[in-house]
Amino acid sequence: MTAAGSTHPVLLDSEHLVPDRYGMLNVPTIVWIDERGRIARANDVQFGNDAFIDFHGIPSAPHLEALRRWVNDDVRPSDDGAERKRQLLPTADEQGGRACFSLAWYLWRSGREDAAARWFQRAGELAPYDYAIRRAALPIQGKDPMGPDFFELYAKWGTPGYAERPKPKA
Amino acid sequence: MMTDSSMLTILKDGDEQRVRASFEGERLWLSAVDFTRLTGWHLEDRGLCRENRCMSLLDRSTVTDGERIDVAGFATRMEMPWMVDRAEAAAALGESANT
Repeated sequence: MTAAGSTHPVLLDSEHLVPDRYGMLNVPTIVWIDERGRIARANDVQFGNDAFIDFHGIPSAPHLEALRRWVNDDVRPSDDGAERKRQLLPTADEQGGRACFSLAWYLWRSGREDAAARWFQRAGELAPYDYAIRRAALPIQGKDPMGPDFFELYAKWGTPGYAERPKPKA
Repeated sequence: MMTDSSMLTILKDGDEQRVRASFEGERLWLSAVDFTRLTGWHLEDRGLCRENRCMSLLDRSTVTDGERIDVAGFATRMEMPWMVDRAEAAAALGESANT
């Protein structure tokens, strides 16, 4: 962030606590948090612009417009009850994948790369569509998060969202 | 059953704790003090407790030998993911999907 010259605060979650605790599967995942620190709109995959729309097919305008309505006019797209209902609760395998990832990350930082690679692999087996895990594992291991490994993942899982449990493409 | 006492790093909630642990098959025994420091839970007559919440234990031997606590048994009871790399002396205790 220093090299990029950021002029706004950036919170770095090196231990993956936020995706672990809030069940985030994809990057980017957006969450609306109000001035009281409460979630006003739960996990969703949305984009700030249309730079990659040919890739994922999700236009940014509807979400940005809804966000402006909320910020400017205090109009939420749904109430607390609807937000609770549309949250995708984690499975035991997804939680297992997250535990494997934390073990892999610890082993990697400890210089035990072969052991780490085994646990990254196991994390991906338990939670194959969890991009927060699988894409994060790529640059840690010196691989391009927008390279062949990611496109192989994308060919199978597309853009995992939060409306329903992701399913592999045929 | 052979037991093997050694130092182990256990990861939980982004923290790392070095503890003395004894392996016994799939079981991993910690002192009650280390177990509470790691998990926030402790053993009472009525079961495993944390703050004002308790989980009953129909068979206490699945979790305790009377002095020590078996983290693997605890993880099973609480439906928490428990990943152990014995060769690397490291393990991770994750959050239950039902929390």
